[in-house]
Amino acid sequence: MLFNSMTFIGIFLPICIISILIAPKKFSNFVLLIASILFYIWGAPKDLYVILTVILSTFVGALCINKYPKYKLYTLISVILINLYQLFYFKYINFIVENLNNLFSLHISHLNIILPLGISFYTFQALSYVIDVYRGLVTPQKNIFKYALFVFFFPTLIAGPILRYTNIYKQIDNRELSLEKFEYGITRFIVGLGKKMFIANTLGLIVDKIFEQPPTDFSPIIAWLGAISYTLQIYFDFSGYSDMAIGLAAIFGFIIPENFSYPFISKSITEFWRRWHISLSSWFKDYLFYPLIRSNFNVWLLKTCPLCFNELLIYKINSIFILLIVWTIIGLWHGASWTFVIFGLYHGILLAMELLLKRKTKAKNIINEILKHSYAILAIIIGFVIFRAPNIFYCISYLKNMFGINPGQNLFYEYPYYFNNTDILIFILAIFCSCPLFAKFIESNKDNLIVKVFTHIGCILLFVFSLAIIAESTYNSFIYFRF
Amino acid sequence: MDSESIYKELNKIFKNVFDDDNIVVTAGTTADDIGEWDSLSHITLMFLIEERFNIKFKMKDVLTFQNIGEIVEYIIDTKASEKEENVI
Repeated sequence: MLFNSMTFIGIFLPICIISILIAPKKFSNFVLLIASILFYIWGAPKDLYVILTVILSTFVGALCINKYPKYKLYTLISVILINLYQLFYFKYINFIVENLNNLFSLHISHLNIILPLGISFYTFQALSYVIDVYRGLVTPQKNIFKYALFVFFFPTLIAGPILRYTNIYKQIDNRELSLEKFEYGITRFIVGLGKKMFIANTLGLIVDKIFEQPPTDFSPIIAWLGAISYTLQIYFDFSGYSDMAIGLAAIFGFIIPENFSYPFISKSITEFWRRWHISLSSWFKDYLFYPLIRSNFNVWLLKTCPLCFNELLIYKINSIFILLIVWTIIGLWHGASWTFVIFGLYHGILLAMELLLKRKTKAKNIINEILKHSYAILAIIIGFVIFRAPNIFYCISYLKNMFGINPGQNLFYEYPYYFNNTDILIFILAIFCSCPLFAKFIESNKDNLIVKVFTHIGCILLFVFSLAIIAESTYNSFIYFRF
Repeated sequence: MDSESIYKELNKIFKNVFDDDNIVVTAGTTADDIGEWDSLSHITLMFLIEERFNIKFKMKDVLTFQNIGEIVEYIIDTKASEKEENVI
């Protein structure tokens, strides 16, 4: 089921809310669990066994780790292997087959596999739980229904934010529904819906048109507009989805962490990843980067390295090594394609460079800030061209066009073909909405009656128009559903 | 080891990692107090502290230390239990 569908908004969500309100408090977890399972089954009933494997293996694994600490490492490794194997199979087996075929001129046929919805997200969410139990950060959940609620939780099931059990378990046991949270949740949901229906979908149509053509068929200006439009599209698409997830969670009394924080005001790629898909980068930091860096092997590597020169430099270089490995994997997490791998590595290299070039912050000088901001925006946009390109050759050709090497022809009828007047308005609106000015203004004037009235009316209008678009639109799936 | 000498050594480490001779850490110092303190400098700090005091942090500790005071406590406790073991 999609959040932006009549079924969800008109039937599923109201029934959920009413059920939670009328059910006695001790049944609310159960109601949410049933609702979440239904939500999942509606989209993909055949994949139920996949998520059940994840839930059972991590639930039982955590209990075993706690009960038999002598074997906890073996238990943990088994649970991780089972879940990663499952993820790997559904996500990457055809990618492996393709590459083997290309490399060795074989003709292994592709397996007929459809990626289960949300598998990348809920697998990681469940793994974070079992690793946290292993680390002694939290005691295992003895009630399988409560644990199942954590994994199945429908607001975040399909595309995150990736939740941490340590943030959620107290709320599963004890949370308050309140009118304030409800109002906040509904507003947040409507804002997310608007981001998706008005901005992301509109830009998506433009971007698809552009990326369908070979890069030599359009001018560098269109190439740049396409790159910027896609950057905006994916932001509004994904942050819109996260807004809806956070809003829905709040409606049911859960406070979950933010996943985006105005990423385009970043002055470095390091800052960018603290503002973009926050739950993902922090997951990889805690569950891959830290374990690798503090692994026995790496510690041994650091100790046997000749420390005749600057000790801090050794740590830096070692961190960079691990960073590049982790970021390549983050790229691969996004999908089974070399463009995603390059996307990850590209960001890893930028982060490594920024780490090496880091200087103590002196007094802020406005020219410096503008230069840093421009560099960041440029780097982000190039990164998303890599992300969007159907393959590496297209990507290179597209980037060449952007930078004037082998530019496409400048056809006079280009602009109206790709952009109409509404599109231009949406484009400008998107750029405006991606900076915090508007939100800050609302926040600092929230007690002002006029501001209140306008935001309420604005939300209602946004909601009504979004419904209208949903009723008649065909282009609707979230980009991150593919992950 | 007494708390004063621990803080002396920690100050040396912090001054080194953040390249700032003005840093002085107290029990209440947290990551928020030092602007440059991010996950990479955190890892480096942990390594240097482990090396200097000849101790080993568990991952749980690395992830959950809230302030310098907790690190110092950990060092004192580890050293105390080491001493006990040696006596026995």
